[in-house]
Amino acid sequence: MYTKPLNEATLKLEQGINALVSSKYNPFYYHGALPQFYLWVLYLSGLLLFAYYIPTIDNAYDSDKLINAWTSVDYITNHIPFGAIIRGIHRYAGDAMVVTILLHMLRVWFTDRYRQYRIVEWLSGVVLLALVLFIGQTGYYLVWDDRSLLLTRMTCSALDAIPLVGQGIKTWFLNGTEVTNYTMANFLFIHIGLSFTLLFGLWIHYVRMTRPVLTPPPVINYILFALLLLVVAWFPIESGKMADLNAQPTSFEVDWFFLWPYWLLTFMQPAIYWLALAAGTVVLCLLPYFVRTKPVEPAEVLEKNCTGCSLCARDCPYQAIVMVPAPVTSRFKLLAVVKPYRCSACGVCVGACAFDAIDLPNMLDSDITAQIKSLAQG
Amino acid sequence: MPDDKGPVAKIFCLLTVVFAAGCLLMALFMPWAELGLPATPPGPLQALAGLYGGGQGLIQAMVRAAQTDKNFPFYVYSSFLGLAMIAGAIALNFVGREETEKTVLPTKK
Repeated sequence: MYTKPLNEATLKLEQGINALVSSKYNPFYYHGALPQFYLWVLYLSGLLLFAYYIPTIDNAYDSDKLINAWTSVDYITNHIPFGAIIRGIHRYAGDAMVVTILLHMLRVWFTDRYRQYRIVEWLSGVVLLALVLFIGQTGYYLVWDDRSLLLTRMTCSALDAIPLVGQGIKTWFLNGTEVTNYTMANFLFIHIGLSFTLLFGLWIHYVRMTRPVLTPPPVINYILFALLLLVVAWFPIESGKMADLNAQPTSFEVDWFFLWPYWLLTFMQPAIYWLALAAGTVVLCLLPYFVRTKPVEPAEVLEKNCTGCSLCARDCPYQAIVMVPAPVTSRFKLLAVVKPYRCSACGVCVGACAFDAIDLPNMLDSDITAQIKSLAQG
Repeated sequence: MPDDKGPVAKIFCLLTVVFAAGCLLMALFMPWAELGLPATPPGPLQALAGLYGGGQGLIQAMVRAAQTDKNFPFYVYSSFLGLAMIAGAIALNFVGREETEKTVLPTKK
């Protein structure tokens, strides 16, 4: 398989880190939990920013007593104690979340954990990545500096190019036909509303996992947060000039974590841009289907031995075993049934069953025990 | 890093604790600078600052920076807190290290 060298490289890297910090604290073993740690940081820091943020654009650009989104961000940054730190944490935690999501994605891809019984996790992960990127971009609109204005205008131009629905989406995006105070309220709603939608997406992401690792050990959390503090301290955030609706900003500083789609827009026709984005998303979604391998041979329940104790169902990591009412001929109330499309043939259920009632096809208990012994002794 | 808790591990652990304490101490100086208080700290703080040799100069520089850039003390505070957290995490890594699991196979009679 084409991912084999990548898999080997990943495992070697992990072994190297194990030698350095022991497997207990190896961040690669918590690759799924790392983005979620940053998500909690984003929620908390965002809550503090929300307390002072004012979602208006106030067109009276030259007014001395101007209160709008830009001035509220400026107030947070320069007048609230630790405001600049909180803002920096929010910004860089977003960047870190994208980095850790990409690491998570590459890890599951390289180690071949994205297909077959893991297809729901992969597809929901692609949707979650797209959502995170879009939410991050809306954060850049909220600052309301000249870059925000340019990004808003570029988005409108790109939306205009979509046939049939483009105009409607643009009207939804701006909350009207032009940039007004309602637009900023909409940006804020999208930013916060979609952020909480992530929780629903995460639920789908986890729904087929019995014991997902939701948080790294405290030591890793300390280091992740400490690194965030260092980045915030060493690379302070600065806003651009306040957006002026009469101005025509033409260039902007690209944040490569979130704003690369706008970089693409600078040299692509909008129609080609949308096609490229759609094609990229479709390729990501179809990636699991590009590899043809032998289908998983699911575990099989021997009805006559099953006592309905449900130990196998509780132990199954992928929720591939359900307990159903046993047939009338059975002496027991429940019977274990394997959902073949969820089964990874990992054999955990075989180990859990005390009654020899579940087996993997072409692999007897004695074979598994022999393999375990040989691995342990080797 | 060593797996056992031998002398090398103990030295590493000691260095980590010293570094973490240093970071914490430096972080405690930050409110001093942030508040724009005199560059020569009184009493015990002065003695502590002296431990660093150039501690006095550092505090003076911080006070100057605090007076020119309002956010500077926050950034320094954040920086030292971050370093202290990393040191603390490394210390925990040593203190919290578990013995390597050993698989014991049952032996037949």
